[in-house]
Amino acid sequence: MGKLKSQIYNFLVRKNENVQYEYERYVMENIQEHYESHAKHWKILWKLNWHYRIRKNSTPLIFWDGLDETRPSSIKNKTLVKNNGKVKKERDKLLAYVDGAESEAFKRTYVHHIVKRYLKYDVVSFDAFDTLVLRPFANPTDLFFLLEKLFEQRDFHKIRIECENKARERAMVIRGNREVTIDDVYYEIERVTGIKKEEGIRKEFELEKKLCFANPYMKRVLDILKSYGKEIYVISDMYYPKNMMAELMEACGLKGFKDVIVSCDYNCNKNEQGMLYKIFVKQLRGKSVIHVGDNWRADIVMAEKYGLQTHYYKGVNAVGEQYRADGMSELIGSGYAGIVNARLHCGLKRYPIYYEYGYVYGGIYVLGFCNYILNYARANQIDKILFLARDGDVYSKVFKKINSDINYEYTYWSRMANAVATISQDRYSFINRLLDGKVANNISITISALLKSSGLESLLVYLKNYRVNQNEFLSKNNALILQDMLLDHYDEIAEIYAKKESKLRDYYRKVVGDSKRIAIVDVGWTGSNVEGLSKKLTKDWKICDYAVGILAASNGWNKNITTAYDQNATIQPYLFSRSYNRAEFDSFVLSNNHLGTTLFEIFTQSPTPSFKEIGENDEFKFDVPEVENYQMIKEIHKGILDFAKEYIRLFGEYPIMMNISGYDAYMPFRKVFRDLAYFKKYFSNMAFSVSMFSDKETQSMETIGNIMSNKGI
Amino acid sequence: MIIYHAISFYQTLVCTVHSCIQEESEKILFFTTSIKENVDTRELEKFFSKVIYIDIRKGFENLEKYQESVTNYFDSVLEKNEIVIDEKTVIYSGGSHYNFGVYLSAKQLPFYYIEEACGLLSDAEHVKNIDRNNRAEVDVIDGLGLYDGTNPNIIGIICNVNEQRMDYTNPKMIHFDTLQQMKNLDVRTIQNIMKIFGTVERVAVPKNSVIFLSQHYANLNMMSYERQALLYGLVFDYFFADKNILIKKHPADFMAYEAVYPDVQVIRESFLSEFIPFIMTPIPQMVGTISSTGINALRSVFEKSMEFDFDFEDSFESIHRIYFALVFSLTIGKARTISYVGVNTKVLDNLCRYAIGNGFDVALKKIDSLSDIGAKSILLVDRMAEELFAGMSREEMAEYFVKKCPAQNIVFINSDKDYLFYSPRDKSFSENIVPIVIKKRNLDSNRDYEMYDDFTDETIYVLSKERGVRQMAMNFSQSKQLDNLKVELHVDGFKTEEQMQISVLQGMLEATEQRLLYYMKICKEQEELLKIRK
Repeated sequence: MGKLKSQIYNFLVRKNENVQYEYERYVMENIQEHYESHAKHWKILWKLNWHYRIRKNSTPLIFWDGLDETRPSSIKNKTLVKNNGKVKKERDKLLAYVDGAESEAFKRTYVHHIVKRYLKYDVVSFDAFDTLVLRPFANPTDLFFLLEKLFEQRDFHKIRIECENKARERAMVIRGNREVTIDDVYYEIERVTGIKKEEGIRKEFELEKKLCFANPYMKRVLDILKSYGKEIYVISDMYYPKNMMAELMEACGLKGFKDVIVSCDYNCNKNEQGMLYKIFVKQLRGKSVIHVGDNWRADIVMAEKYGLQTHYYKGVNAVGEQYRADGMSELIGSGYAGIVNARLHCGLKRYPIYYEYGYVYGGIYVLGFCNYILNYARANQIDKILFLARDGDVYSKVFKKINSDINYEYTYWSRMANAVATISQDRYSFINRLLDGKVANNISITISALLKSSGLESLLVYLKNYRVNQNEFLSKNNALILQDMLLDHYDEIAEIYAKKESKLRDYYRKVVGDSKRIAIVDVGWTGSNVEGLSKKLTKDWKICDYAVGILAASNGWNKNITTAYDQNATIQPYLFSRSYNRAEFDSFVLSNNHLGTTLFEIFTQSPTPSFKEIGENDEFKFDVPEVENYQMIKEIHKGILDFAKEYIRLFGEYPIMMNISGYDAYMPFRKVFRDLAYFKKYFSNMAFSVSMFSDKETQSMETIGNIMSNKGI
Repeated sequence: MIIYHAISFYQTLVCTVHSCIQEESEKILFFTTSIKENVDTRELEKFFSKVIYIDIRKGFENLEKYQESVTNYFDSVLEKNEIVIDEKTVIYSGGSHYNFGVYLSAKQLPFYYIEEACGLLSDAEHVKNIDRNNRAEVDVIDGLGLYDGTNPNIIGIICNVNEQRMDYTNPKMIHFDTLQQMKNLDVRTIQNIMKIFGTVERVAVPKNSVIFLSQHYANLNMMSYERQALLYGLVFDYFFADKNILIKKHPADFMAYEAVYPDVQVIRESFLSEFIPFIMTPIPQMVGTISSTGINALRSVFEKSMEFDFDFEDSFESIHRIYFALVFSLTIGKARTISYVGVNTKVLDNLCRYAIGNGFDVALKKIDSLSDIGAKSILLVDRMAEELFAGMSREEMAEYFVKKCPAQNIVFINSDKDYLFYSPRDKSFSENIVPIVIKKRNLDSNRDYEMYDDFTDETIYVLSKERGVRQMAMNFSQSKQLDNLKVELHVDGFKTEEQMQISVLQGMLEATEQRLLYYMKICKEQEELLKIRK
């Protein structure tokens, strides 16, 4: 660097340690931007100088993550959010990230670029946890909650933490430092709980081996470094001795290390005085080394103190926590966040926005719901589960991953089919859906198109008796007359639909087979579909003895709908209903102009058209296909399925983790639903038929953008 | 005085070899710091009077002041090193599409242009496209004629004339075969040149080997790491299944092949492919690459060479379809011509030579005009060749294939899922169409799904007027194991007519969806046009 430039750099950067810390850290974390956009970095440097040197502020400007212990302690507990270089306010943390795919937000350097930097050194050393190895929790100690069940010891999580602290205090007295082994920790635990030390260590270690996994980003880095013959070390502040650490690494698929240096083996560590680096450096015998880690003090500050070059790898949870839903229960929330943060923020890949929508907001809901269905079915001796089209598409795919014993099938049913089948039992709902819904939503459809699309073209001849022209558009003005016409000819309608109903009956006879107790699954909302079908199965068609509906959520915003209050429990809601998780029900129903159902159903759309009826030749007939949505839906489903797969892989053996409450399952969606900006930005073009019996003549579709605009959003 | 400029290993080699045959004693090399650490500068300096290290990113402040800042930078470098360029100075510039070329152009200094890599002069467009991923100043440089060598200050182009595209001509080309020139040098000089690029041990080559030259696609942001791995895995499995594969990595290719494909051998040392004849014992029979220009200098050294083209880099995922289409086509008639439209020529040729067994007397014929299609040929159709069907609507195209095409048997590879035979108004094709469904089975229970997770079926379609051929398609059963990818591909045929009809209907459904999307797109474009007109 030229002399003048060096002087300028000293003056503007090094003269103030806060400016230096934030500017150099920003540059390190945005190195590509630094080469491509000098102007932006100059601006940031100017702002930092203004903030610290002119305004004399003592609070951070950019980095609020409190990793550096030199930060004022009053700031540590506050979490402001860094978003593309701008500081966001506290309130914004409650809202979903809308500026693009979350996996793109942090702009972590790609593996094959960062490796170029490491290859310049003879030796590369890594921190272990949260760098090479990840736990599927937002907080590492949350793993101890699972030990409560294993040891059948109440408060084991608290005991475990307390005993570790006690062991460290004892070590301080005896040896003058706080380094302990796992042996020391379980010595304390045995004293207070009676759990045998060896058994305790074994169980905890087995659990760690089961749950820990290699950071995919770092695994790839290691593979490349090994292919170049580099010496690789692990240096960790940990209570597992070297052999256990190596075993844990191997269980995660990480091996080929020159050495694993652990603090408990040397009675010193990285974090406090950094003495562990002194031991490490001695082993190197003059070779050049770069150390990589996620703890600013332990892996960067202290390593540099002993002459190591460093690279800061910001932990996945440190990156992702600002984007995670608040309010979830501790254990499920931690597991969910751990998995999502690892996937999106390890840096291995960037994901499309729709994939992330499914992964982040839909996966836990669909998985939780499927587990709920499975548990319900087992507890209530259900013979067969019917997943109704089209929401049942993704449900049945996730269900397949967790089910091994209950018979199930994806079956065709819809509001249309339900209206046809229940025409004799529920004329009010039929008329309401055929007419009132369209009028209320300003759907543009002619009377002729309406009757044709509902298979009632034979009634066109009667229109003249009511002084209605078939080319009129349905409106408030003619809806009442039309209703009269339909009710006057209701028997004729019932006769037309009776043929269609018989086809449905024959179909369901085959579907149900010999099963006696059936569960019918749908997304929601008033439960008319599941209620209609269950009554048909048990009472009219007499195909089975018992049928229960299981809904993701019950949303009867019309207070007169009593389905959710049914004391015979013929409908089971998972997320919420009028009498269950009421706070969430209220926020869902009452906020955002009743858009909740439309937006929530995005998860369970299907890349297939809606089922309409079974024709005379037993051909299945479908409604207008919304092909423009299909690619988007496939991405969302992929995200949901991948989340489910990952969650099951890690937690499938632990019922406490698999039994996801409706409350927890709903929280991520609640976050994104708080502010419609996300939906407006990414789903405005999603098109579908809002109401039953869509217009086949003009095939006009509604988009989410249209619906939002109509509601003034 | 001779001034050389090099910013890549290849250019460094060319400049060094070239300097060996120059009588002029004063030779200066401008050498980039970006690869300085990867060469032995002491050895390099032995070939030049002076080596000046320059930063190729230097001078680039912002796009508006680009040329000015570059000029100031090099002026200061020359001044600092007391170099005066006069009419007797001869300049040879490698990497002229970087700052030094811009400087020479701005100063209107005459210079010799060294091609970016062997044979790449005739594919300057490709270099430009790669640069677009990484550089903002591409258009400026293109405008100066520094990609294609048309800058008016260029007095000659140092390149390997024999490795340019056959249809390429340029009166300024001056033939320079680096490998040949190296061979003409004495052994000691050759060794000293090689030392510049690091110590290279002699490589023992097992029998039945192929040396494969890799490229650094991921590093250049041309594709992701996973996609690069997939590309190479497919090539290894299809074309070198029975061979020992030795990968000679591009110096900037960071893929960990040992971890991804444990059965391949990687030559750890990084060296220029031009050195292969000097370090390998024995020289493998075969050399292969996708599109590395390193092969250009080596064709004469190996018995066989296999390569693809730039198009393959974008479309390689179609290979399963093309393979099975070819196998089926060869199965139904041994002594026929296989004509093709919209299919990669190199892929077909290489599959025939290296992936499918001998014994088939067949000729491959690329169709450039519809009148070339013969009645007795089998026609492979893939991506819509717009120039062939200019002026035809989708429906007309479909009608052509179904009713008018002279070829009795057409295999639609359908890589883009555009169902060229499909017309929603005329479904008569369904009487003569038979799908061939390619299924995939995972053979690795510990698969890393981040690397490869595509197990969706792929379907090609046989449209045949011959009942016997349709029957053969229905019964067609074949499998192919991909050992590196650990996937088994299999076609099982249809046990019943009903099964086949279901598959046809699935295809029709997808075709309808695709066509709907196509019409919606056209509609939207026309709505936009109407809005603009209003």
